[in-house]
Amino acid sequence: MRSRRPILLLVLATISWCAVRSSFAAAGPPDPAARLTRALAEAETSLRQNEPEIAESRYRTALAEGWLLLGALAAVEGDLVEAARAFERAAGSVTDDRRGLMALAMVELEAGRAGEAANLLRRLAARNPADAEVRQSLARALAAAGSLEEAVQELEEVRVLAPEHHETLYTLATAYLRQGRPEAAQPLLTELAAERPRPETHVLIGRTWRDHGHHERARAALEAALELDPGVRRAHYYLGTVELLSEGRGRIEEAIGHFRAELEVAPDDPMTNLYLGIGLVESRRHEEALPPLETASRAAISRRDAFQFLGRSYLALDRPAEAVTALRRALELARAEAMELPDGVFVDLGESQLSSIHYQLALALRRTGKTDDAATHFARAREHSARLAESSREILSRYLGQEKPGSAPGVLGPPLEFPAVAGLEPAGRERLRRAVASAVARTYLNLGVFKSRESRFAGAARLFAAGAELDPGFPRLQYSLGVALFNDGQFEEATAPLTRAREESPEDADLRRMLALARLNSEDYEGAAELLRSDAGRRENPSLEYAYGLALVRSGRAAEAESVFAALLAENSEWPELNVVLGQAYAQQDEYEAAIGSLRRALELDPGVAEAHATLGDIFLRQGKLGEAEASLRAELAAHPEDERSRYTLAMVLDLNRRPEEAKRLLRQHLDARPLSADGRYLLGKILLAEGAAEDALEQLTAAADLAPEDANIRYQLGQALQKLGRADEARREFESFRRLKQAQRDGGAP
Amino acid sequence: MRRGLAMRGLPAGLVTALLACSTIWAAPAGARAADATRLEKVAAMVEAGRLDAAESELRQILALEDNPIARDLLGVVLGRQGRHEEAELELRRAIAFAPDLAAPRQHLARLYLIQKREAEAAAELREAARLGPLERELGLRLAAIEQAAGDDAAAQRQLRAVAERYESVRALLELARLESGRGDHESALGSLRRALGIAPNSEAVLRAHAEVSLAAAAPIAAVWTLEPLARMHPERVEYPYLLGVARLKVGDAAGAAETLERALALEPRRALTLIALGLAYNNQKRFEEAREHLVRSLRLDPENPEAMAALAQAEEGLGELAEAERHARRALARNPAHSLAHLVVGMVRMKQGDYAAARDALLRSVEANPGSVKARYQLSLAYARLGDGESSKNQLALYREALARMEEALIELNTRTGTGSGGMRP
Repeated sequence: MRSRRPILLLVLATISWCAVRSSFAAAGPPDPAARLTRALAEAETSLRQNEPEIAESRYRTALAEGWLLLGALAAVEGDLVEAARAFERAAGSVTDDRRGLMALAMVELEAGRAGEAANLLRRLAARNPADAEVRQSLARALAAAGSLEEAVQELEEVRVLAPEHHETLYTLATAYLRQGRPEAAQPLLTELAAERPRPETHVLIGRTWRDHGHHERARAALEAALELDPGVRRAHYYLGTVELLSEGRGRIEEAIGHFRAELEVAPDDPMTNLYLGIGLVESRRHEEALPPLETASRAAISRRDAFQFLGRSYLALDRPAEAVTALRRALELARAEAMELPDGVFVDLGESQLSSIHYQLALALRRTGKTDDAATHFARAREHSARLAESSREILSRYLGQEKPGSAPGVLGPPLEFPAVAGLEPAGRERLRRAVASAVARTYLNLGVFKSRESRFAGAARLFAAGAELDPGFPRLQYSLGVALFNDGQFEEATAPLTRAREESPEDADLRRMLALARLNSEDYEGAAELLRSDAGRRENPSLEYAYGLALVRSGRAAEAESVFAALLAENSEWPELNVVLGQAYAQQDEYEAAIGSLRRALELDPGVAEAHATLGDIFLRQGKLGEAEASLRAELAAHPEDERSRYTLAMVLDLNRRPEEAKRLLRQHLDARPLSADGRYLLGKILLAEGAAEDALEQLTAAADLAPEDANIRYQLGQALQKLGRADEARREFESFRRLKQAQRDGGAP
Repeated sequence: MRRGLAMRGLPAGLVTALLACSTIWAAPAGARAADATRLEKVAAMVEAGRLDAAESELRQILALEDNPIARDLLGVVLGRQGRHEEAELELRRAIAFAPDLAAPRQHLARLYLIQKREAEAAAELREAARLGPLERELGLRLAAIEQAAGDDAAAQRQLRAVAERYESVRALLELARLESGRGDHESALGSLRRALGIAPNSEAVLRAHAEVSLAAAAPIAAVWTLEPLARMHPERVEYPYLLGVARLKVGDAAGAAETLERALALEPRRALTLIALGLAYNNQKRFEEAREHLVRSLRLDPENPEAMAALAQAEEGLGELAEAERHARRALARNPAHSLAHLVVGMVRMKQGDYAAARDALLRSVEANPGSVKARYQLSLAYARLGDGESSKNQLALYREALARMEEALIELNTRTGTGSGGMRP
């Protein structure tokens, strides 16, 4: 796992451009969810005004805002994978994907994928070359990807394009400093100070000089900040670190003075307490070092190092037992914060630091008389490094390196900032996360309802599923997801959400029935029968009774089914559709007389009932009564012109009646409506072939074979067409296929 | 579905509007002020659903002195109580008292619409519209009535008024539909750009913009809205398909192929996508892949001339001249003015050294599609081979013009979509 420490340090312990920017903003903490709340309110107003398009647009804005917040929360928690996913969703929710892509690029950069970040940012920069913020970020990504020259060029162009964008001055100056060009950086930082004549700006400039090793310039800038405001945060702190990093023992006393001054402004600041403690240890003022180090040991950001120095002080003060406790804690924390180096090798935080802790611990243990334990830690210290102690300056350099915004190789400025949420405590972040997730789930629900109203159930289901993923318990979400999937014909997928929705509303009879039908359609007949068995309203609802009977038959409970069907017919002899279904059932069993009786009865009850004429047409066709078949099928088409099966069957009847022209016309109509009808293509191909149009026939028959590769009849006709065209080898292959498929049919192994 | 026409309450600002109109009510100034306050209270009662109390108060006001605003309010109250005949009577009285007051007419029209008395509603709405702006729903309803009556100009006027007054996207969409229907794509795009300004993430608005842009032969504008549509609605095959087609029209074959592959993954057996993908591959000279997809498309739709012509182009690219000509001829049998099919025939003839026949075929190709870069180029070659230097030069100039147009369009496309080489370089 990569260490989160640099991010936390950046967010919590350094002044970034964000801090400078926000210090110019109006006082009062901004509501992180303000944009989300506003978008939702606007959506609801638009709904009331009956402007569904505006409502949809605002809901989508709310989605994007919600995902941006969730991404920011994940990023601040150090979960970059989740953050990237959230930002991708934000970008996919709205027309203007800039903010989502920008945030995603920043996450990529933080995750060490500078190339990907640069690609994203290049796309954005290409769309709007005047977008200074994007191009600055691009420069950062380029620098991180090792293209510092290109980054500098980018920034120089941004400076020309958007001279009012003062952040460019800072980023470009940082880039020059990384190139080792302090003289180029100096005028930019001077200009920045003139443009933003605030003490915070000088603090930022001072820290930047310090980060790049220009201690005198850093000192001057920080002193300028203090001149403007002696109480400005971090000026003394950075001056203290500058003194510690500078050569000469006297500097340590100066540093101690600055840290003490900083603590006057912010007494509990963990890093200032830590550095003060370290300075005092270095000056061998161990007693004085204890209080600040103890304060630092209570903060996650500084506790590992605070415990290490506490251990050293206790040892120096001849309090070995307390030293052992502190150093064991330091060791434990150091192990817990193991980090992965870029080459994938796991090592502890630093060989010399670890060896130093082991060494100090060994000394403390020996003083307490635990010589065996001491020996073990002496050996571990030697294993880790030949060096048994770091100099204080080395230690401080290491710490300061961790807090530098440019500490990652080539990064210019702070790469990942989410000021809206970074200031929140963990509990506040969790509360916000839950509230945002719920609001986003509600938004998905509303957007899904829009799609459902347009009968676009697949799209609706996608939206409901996204909401359910975020907040599975959100009211009506599982229900809506189940209904959308059901309506889209995804019966098997619908059963899980419908089952969960039943847990929410166990008394909902409609829900229970929908679940039963979903199970029936996904061939879970036993499950369907079980749900319908105890349905109190089943007997009053013949469709349900029919579904129950079907479920019983299919689950092998034919005896029970028989009584259901008998009762159904006894009570619903006037039900035209039931008579049609019965007629179809008789026809399937070749009981044509009974079938015709049922179907005619259905037509008496309702002359327009669907499928009655069509089934009669099928029966007459099977009986060879072509005239009656034609009349029946024409009657079906007159009542139901959308019935493509009847159109095809009528074409077949007409072909058999040697009326190919009308048959072809009907087939072309049929294929316009159903281009994937293998039967239609086959019959048209067969008619064309009979007329001698072998080439046209070949096209239709090839398409039919592609649609139904296991249909022996198609293969035969295809072979005939190829033979007529003189393509004997191909024809032979088709005839072989025909024979193989026919044989398989005879053997019962093929369709 | 009837939208929001139930007399549920007073629309926001109604009372203010009603009271503002009270200058036409010739009553003493002192009395007006007192009654105005009283009427505001009644309106609040109506808003709160206290209809009986509101009715009682209004009847008291009217007992003292008749006034059209009180009668109008009483009509609204009675309407909400389902007492439609009484409501109509009161509203008619209000109109008789103050014929220039628009509000009672709107309320009466609303009442008629609830009662499905469309003709009377239309008459009242027209009169109310003459007096002042209509409420959003009624304005839209009047536009629909005018349209049904065949008066598109009146419908558009009404839609513009609603769009202007309420920033109504529904009105703008309907207006764009009418404008586009009469072939005025420019105005339609203007209306849709306004709608996009208000509802930039609305699928209906984005789709309408894309469709009108394609109809107006403005593929870059279409790409601008199809790109977010494809991203925001990843389950819909038509958006990546249309995006691919639009990119193809601009000349961005690589971008088109990438988008169409996404469309194909969503629906692998869609002939239209396969044909477009075949054309995109042809334009990239990926003829084998083009042929594979076009053969698949012809299996799904064997008589499609686009697919046949594109297959012919792929075969020509692969050097299969006989097959190419056969398929091109079949495409021409179905569409004698098929530019691409003529181009293929021309290119086959060029390869066969029959430059006169090539020239004739290529002339037919450019006649069908004057912007065809390839046909212009081939034609210039054919003329050159035939020794007609002047015509060759002319065609070459036209080819360069067409190429420049395509390149400009590509640059614009890349800039708009961020697919260019980057903004930091000159």
